[in-house]
Amino acid sequence: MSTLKINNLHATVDGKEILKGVNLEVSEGETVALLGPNGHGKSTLLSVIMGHPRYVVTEGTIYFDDKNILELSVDERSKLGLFLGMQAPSEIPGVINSDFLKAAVNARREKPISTYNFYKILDQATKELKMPFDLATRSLNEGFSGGEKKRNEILQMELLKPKLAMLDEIDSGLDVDAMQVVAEVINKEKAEGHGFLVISHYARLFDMIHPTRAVVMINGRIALDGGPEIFKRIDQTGYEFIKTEYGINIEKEDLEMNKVSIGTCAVKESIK
Amino acid sequence: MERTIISNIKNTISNGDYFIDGSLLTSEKVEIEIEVNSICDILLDNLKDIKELNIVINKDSNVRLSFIAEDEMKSSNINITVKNNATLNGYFADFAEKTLDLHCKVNLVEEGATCTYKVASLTAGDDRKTVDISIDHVSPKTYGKFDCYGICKDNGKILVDGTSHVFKGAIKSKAQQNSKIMVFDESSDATVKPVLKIDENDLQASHGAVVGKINDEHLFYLTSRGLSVETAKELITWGYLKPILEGFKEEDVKNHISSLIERRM
Repeated sequence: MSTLKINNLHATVDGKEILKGVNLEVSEGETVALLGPNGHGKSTLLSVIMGHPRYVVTEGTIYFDDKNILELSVDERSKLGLFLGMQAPSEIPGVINSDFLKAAVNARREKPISTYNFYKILDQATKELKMPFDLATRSLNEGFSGGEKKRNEILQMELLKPKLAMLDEIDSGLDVDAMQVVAEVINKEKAEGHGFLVISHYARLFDMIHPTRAVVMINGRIALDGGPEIFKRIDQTGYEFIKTEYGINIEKEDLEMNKVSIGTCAVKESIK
Repeated sequence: MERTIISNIKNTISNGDYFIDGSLLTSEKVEIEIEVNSICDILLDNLKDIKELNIVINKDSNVRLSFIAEDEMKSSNINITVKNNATLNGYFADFAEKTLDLHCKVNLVEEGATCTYKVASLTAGDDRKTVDISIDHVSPKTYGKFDCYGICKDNGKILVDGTSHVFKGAIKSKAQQNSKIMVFDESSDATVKPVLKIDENDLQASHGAVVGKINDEHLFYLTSRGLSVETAKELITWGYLKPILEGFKEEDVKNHISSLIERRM
């Protein structure tokens, strides 16, 4: 069973604890909306599941396909069927998109795909996503617009067919038409039994892909877990009801101020 | 490959494509003069026994000098003089093994002389390399640009010494340097010295040098799609070095350089 099971997950970045005991289960083929105010750990959670080296897991477990994935390297997690569509995909100069995509496809095959077959599936996928084919021949994400980067993430998902795709604000930077195209691909993958864990701040994408569940992350934990009515309510009223109805205090995002030094040019006497 | 082979000690050439195969030369010193208003494409290979190569590019000529290093090269000196409104486009694909000690000096001696020089270098294992490129701006309105992209791994050691010297009187000249060396592991060592010597006030000059490890975000991105760390590094290496292929004309030469990169990766 390709179920994701997260139990009491704690994780830090640069010594600061971001995830403070996450418990979450995503069943095979389920589509889950992951919501929450900025800075409360949504993106961190997805990065930790994928194995980003910047984050340190200090406590808890993550199982996928009944395997303890915290013991697996990033590429092993990918080959197990996990995928992270990133909020800000890296631009990698010189690495040709199609070379990278072919290497990714081959990473999960015993026998390398023939060039003809690879270009056939690439051509089909780019057409589905209404992407110009020349994006495949350019450096990976370099010079891509925000929307092109996001489509390129979905293109990779389409080629790799993950069992569980985690999409981090995949709708940001997409215009309405592009969002529709992306939603169609997601719905096609859903129909094939693939699961999704999707972060978005807007109900529009969720209205298109119809999540079966919504979970809300507050203060580094899952505070609410329920049906799709949750994201509709959040879209209309914000997160305030979580405080008033559930008594959960929403910590403010910790934004460090730049250090300010006031020199002689800023003393009171100089202000007329 | 249809190129005229240069095998004499002293040569005067004009329009055309030429090949200097070091293994065919009988002298350790070779001189080439390019006639005025010529367009030449010169390919150099097997220069391990050449101590000195002197090239003079005369007025209004345009020369592409494409250079492959694949064997050991001990102390080779290349001196290039670029005259009035002439252009040199140099490409150096360094996949030499063990020792490389290359000193290349470009003299932009007359007004309007131009030089661009691109280097791609892979240093690995027991390689100990020195790539010393200097561009002298002697006259007004000269342009010199030096770009070096390198990978250093598996205990390899490389020194890239780039010097742009703008002499007094070389007004309105422009000197640029840009070097990036990616070091894959702690046992490897790369040093870049981007030196600007400026004796004139009326000019533009810039230099940048980066020596650093592989970008963790890049590695995470590639491995998150199932690529092993080794394959990800190979793709990044390939992306770093492949642009040098644009400096080589024939497909079979490009393929040969590609195979050198693959072999050394």
